[in-house]
Amino acid sequence: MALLQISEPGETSLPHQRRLAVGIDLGTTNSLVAAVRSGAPEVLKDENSRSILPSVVVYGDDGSISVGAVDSSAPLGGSVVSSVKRIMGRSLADVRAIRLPFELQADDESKGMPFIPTVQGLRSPVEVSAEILKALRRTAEKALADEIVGAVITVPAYFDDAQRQATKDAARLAGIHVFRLLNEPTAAALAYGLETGAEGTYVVFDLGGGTFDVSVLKLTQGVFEVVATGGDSQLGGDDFDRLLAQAWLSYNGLSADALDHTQWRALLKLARSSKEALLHLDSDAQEVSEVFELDAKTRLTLAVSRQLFANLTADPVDRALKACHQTLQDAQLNPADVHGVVMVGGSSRLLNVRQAVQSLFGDCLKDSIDPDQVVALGAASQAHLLAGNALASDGWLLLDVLPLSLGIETMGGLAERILPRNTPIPVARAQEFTTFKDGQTSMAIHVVQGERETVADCRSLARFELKGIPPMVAGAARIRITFQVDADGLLQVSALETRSGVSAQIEVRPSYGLTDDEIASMLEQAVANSRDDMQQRALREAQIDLQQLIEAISAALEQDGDLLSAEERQALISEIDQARKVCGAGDRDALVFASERLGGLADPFAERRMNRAVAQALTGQSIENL
Amino acid sequence: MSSPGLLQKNYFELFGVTPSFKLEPRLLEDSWKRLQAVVHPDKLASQGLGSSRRLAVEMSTRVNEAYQTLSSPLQRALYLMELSGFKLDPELSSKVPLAFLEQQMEWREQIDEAKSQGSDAYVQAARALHVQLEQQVSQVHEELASLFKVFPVPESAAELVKQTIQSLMFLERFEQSLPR
Repeated sequence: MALLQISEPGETSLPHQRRLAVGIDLGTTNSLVAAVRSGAPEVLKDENSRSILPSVVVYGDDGSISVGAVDSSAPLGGSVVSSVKRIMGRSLADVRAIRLPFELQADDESKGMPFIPTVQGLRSPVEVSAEILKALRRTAEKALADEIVGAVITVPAYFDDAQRQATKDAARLAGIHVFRLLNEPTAAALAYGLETGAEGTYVVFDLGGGTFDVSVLKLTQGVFEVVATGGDSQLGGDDFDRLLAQAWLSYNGLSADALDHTQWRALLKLARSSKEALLHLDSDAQEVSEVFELDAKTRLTLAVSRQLFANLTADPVDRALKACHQTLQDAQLNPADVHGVVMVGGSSRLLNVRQAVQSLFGDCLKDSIDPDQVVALGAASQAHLLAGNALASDGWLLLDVLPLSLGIETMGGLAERILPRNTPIPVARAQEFTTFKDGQTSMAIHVVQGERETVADCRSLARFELKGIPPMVAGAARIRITFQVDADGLLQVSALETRSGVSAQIEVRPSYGLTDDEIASMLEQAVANSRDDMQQRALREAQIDLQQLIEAISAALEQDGDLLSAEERQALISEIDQARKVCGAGDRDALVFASERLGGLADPFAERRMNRAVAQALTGQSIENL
Repeated sequence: MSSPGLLQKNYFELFGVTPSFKLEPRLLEDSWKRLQAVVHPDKLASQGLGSSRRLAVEMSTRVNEAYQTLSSPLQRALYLMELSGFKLDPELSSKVPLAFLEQQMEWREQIDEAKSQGSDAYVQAARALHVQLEQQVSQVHEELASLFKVFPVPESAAELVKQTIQSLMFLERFEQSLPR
């Protein structure tokens, strides 16, 4: 006999529209999109059944844009852009040192922002990324047969504020609502922890194409706590290919300078495929051998064994281990405290890399989830949770940290640290500064990020000015500078002269990114083509938002209605009735207005509920004073 | 309402403990997680608190601030003084006992001498000093624990507490300057 199901009080599952949300791993070489379907995260496939989308955008001379070309050689009359992640949120000066598969150019106003010349004109890295994101969105909406309401996008843990902001801008341009930016190693740990139910201290070792991240996490009942994070932003699997290619050339008495762009790229490709072929050999001495046709006259026989490869790449592997040591030290842990190392990224498959990791941590490598997919899978689970699709009881919590210290420039070009790295976020901290000269009426504030003592060695994030300080003698003014970092790791800075109340505030926009106006005008252009589509989407979003709000407040009233007086309760109920009438309306403004009114009225109620929740959270356990 | 608003509570109240210098780190961490589990903005969607994102961000930030302050002995001591009405500028040096300064000078000399004897001797001397310092630090912690038993700190005791906190600062700074 079938039994009737009765839901637990408080977990009323009102007719609840499922909100489709995806996790996106926006990688240097490859990108993936994943979603939770029937309870478990899975990577979504495009119409060609591919689950991995190469992060390559081809601009055709016929005005077409295609994403995901496998062979990144330029088609006739088109421009190919790859590895754009390496220059996200960076200035032209920053990226000069990076060897890229395309040329860069400053824009007209020469703000120092790099642009990529294509047959369709100059494109910013943000625009190129947006094309990749759009392609992923299309894949997801096709596979799920519905619109997605939002996404969790992963970024390398060491991404600074400018790089994060640029990623968020790209999503905005692609018409994707970002629930959250999530650090890649955190996403991987989440996927691993959710699948295996593991508890304890875990290290995530993430060696991707262009980046190396390492994070230490504590996994306890439903809480994923990042304890420390580190890595090396100039280290990745691509370095391994480059070292092998260079060694081959030097064995043949050639130097990289003798090769043109196309030849060098072909050689790198061969280095990569040989590296991958090494995985399938039986012994360390066995060789992979290939013939490389440099030009019509020159044929080179290029060979590599595991042994040789390990020797050639000893330096980057050593650097990766050093970064692991440093991060463990930041976490105040020893290798013996670590229960497992979650291996992430294609290069984590390499044998000499795995041996090195084992030499440090012992035999505890975790690779039950495909290292190429694990980040996207974790992001998908988090997106599912943030979209409100999971019940409170089976939810979990991610507690992340600030990856790089934040500070401001003080006298003598020194960086004064205001928030040290590995501080749990969200966080806010204020520090007082004073004037240097008598009668000084303004103060330039230069926000920097990094671990070095001098400003020149840190990344410049933003500059702004606090004006209108009343003239005082030097040192008399009290200027309070507050740094606020949200759960995405994004920064807001404000400055206040406490005696006069003069204030200035800035949401830190990357110095080398796009301004809000530029993004707005790009959006405008994009929308011109598909205005109806966008409006429909906005309308549906507003309807869903209001619907959810009504559901949430109704459920809250049922559970904690006693926190309100009779009059308050009545007021809220009649506001809900009002809102219900608007719910089906086709007027977006009316929907948004109703949401705001209802939300505003419910705010004090929310605070009392939170107060109660806090009190309940601490009962049954109290910190003993010893 | 009878209880103060969440954002008005001091850090000890927020964590549900009486103000004191001695706190058990494990339990502190446990409370931190329990609190974040109800106030973190990511939890809104599943808690049906969808209307109050701003409140959640503020609360989550405050819980993190409280945790950072309470879990560092030095920050905790400074905060206890602040609650007692004595705001100490962490940069300002007040009177430190002469004996303590002498002790520090001696340590510096020891380490400089070891340095001149090569890196092995230096590392060994530094390691030995770490052990000594840790003993000193826990001794100062004991002193602070007993000083803060009377809370809020009365005017008459304030100077002694300040000096003890100052010693702790010196010790921590000195320890950070040593190689690990």
